Amino acid sequence: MTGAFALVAFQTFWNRLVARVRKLRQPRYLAGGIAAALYFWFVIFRNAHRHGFSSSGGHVLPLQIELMSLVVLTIMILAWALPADTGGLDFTEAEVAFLFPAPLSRRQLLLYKVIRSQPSTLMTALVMSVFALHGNFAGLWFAFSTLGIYFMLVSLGRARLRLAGINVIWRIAGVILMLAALSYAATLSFPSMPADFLSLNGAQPSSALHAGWVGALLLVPRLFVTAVFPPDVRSFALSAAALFALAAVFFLGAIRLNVSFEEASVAVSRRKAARRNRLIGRRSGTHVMFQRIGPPFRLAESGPAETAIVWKNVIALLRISLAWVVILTVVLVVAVIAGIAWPVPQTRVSFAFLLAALAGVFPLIGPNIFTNDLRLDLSRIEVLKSYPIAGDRLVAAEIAAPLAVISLFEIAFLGAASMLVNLVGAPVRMQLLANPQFIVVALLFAVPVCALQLLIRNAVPVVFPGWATRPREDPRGFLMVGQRLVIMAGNLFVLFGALLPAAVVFAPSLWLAMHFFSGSPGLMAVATLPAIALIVVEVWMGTQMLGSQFERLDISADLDTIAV
Amino acid sequence: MTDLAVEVSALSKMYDSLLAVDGLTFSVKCGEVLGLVGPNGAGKTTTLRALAGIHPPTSGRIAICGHDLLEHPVEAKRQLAFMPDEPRLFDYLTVEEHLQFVARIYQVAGFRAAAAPLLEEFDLADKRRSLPSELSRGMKQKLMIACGFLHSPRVLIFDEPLTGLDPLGIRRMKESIRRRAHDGASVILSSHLLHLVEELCDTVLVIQNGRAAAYGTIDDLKWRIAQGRGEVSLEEAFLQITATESKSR
Repeated sequence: MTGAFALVAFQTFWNRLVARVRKLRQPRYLAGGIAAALYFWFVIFRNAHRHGFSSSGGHVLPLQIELMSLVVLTIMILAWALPADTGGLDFTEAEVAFLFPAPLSRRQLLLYKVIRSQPSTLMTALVMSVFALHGNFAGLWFAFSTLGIYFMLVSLGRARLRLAGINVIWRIAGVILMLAALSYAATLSFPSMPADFLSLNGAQPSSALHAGWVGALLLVPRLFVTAVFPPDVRSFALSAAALFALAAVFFLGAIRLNVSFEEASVAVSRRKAARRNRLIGRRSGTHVMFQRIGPPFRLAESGPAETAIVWKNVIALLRISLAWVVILTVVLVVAVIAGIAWPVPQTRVSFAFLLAALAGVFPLIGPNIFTNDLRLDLSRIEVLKSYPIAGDRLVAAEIAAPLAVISLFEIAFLGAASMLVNLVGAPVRMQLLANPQFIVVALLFAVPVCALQLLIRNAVPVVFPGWATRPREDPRGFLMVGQRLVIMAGNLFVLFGALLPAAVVFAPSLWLAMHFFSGSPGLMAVATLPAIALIVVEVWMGTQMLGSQFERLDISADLDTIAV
Repeated sequence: MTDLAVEVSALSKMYDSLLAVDGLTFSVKCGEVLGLVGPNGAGKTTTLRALAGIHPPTSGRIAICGHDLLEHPVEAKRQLAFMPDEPRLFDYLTVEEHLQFVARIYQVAGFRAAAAPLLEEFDLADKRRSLPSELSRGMKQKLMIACGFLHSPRVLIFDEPLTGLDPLGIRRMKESIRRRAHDGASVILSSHLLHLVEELCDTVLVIQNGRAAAYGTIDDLKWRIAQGRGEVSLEEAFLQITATESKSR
């Protein structure tokens, strides 16, 4: 049976790996993969390489070994405080469907779970050993595998404790007690340490942690750390052998607990599948939070059909995104009040700066927060497309509701920032915000720029549906991160390209207004109009193009997995 | 004026290199019920989606009540209702709001008067304030169908209309389709339930590999297969037609 389990586990892993590598033949996945690789390299691994441990285990100080052992011990203890106490183990839906009705004993199911986790544990160990910890690959594998079995034991142990009448409160109390005792014992181990003991070579505090109660308690976690950072081959061999024995003990302990985990595991598997489906089927920001909020206005029986789309999206906004409206309003109100009433002038300026910064980024982040437009409805696209509404009108109606709310916040942030700067007397670097000419221009640009950005966000899944979908088998994975980075870069590029002609038109108008009309705010507004008109025309043309593309769009299952 | 509600000529649909529908030609008269049957992947759903204006055909012509679907999509779509196999409802609208929304989209005057009997007919009257997440699969399907019926369309397109309905729902659904056909609506439905097709439909179009394997009244098809050797069921006729078509390929 072990051979069959191993075959299934490794074949599944291999097939998944091959499928992902094959995906790289598609340009979007290749570009996404490269972008994600660059991102992870620059943001995480490069820093880990700089600040991480040396590749040679010998360079890890004894004190570091002891401190890491303390961390491992703390994690092992904390696992007993987790609230889950049904004994549910993590099986996939397919595993539940095939293995649970099969003539397999509980021991065999646990064995399958251990074997099934090995390929991913191996992969994690490989990545960690190469990029992050620079520890011993085999040691990392042994350590992670043994920890995995330990957590399985703890999960079943929590269920056994519940059956014995020991609930989560008692468990948390026990864990707190154990951690307090551990801290106390650790403190006693350092009675005469100098304040800068961390700067020592670690020999003295390390030997302190080897002795007494703490030494005994750290014996097991030290095996994990020594296997990962062995000072020599002999230590590695000893630690690995001990970990192997420990894994066997944990596994036998899990079997001996004899907890009926099947039913709870089915529930865990269902929850996991539902979570995954939510993730691949919908974007974030689609959960109906406020079910009982009524429609904002009465929809008359006659009138343009587009009004119904706006009405629907305002309802969606209220029932899905009201929390954001409240949060942003609170931020705005608190910042304004604090900006006026805070006793320290520098702090008052900070609030003005906060609002100005929000105004600066809101046209970009607003469309990500308020997605109550075409993006929300793409999973129902076949219904939308059967409606008797022309594509361009549908697109315009879909965008209207989020545009209203984003523009309102943008104008509010801009206006409030300017008002505070005028009230508190801003430093030189923020003087521009106090300038009436600037604020007139910014307010005039606010709505068209927000509309442009919303249009771009809505265009991504319609024009490049392939780029905007989550891979079903890996909705949160490496390629998805890269895909999103590429989309973000593309979004900024298109936005820049669309604003460039307006900037070219605006520059001479601005010069004329400043030089010949002394920068009068009224004339500045007039000077801004050609550029505004240009953006409005771009939005109109974009809506026409997007509408036409929407009508031509072929529906495929991919649209269920829109990710933008 | 012609009494043809749906006219399809040389309809083809291609996905990349896959020819999903290959030169289908058929028509549906007012009050006629056409059954679209075929094995899995034959092209039934693709055909229905093309008829509903959901995806444009690669070639061919579709006219709904005399309006060319490509030339005048809004006018054509006003005459039809499409009920997909999977109910695609707006998660954030209640049952009543769905009807209200659809009524405005299709410009239904007096929507409350039109909605009330539908809510009763589909057992949704006491669920009017419920969100889709609070409805069972069958209730969602009923709401989808109620939304489709609201504007009294002249062409009804159903993709597997009985999926998820309970026995009473199935009976009511069948009665409802019959009544609407009797009132002059043209109905096109796809189903794997051949007894349903036999019971409801006047004509049948058997599709296989995107092509019309057989097209005619149910009696015609049966007669053609039986060839004077007594009675055959539609199921038997279907199996023989699709088997012959497979061999000829």
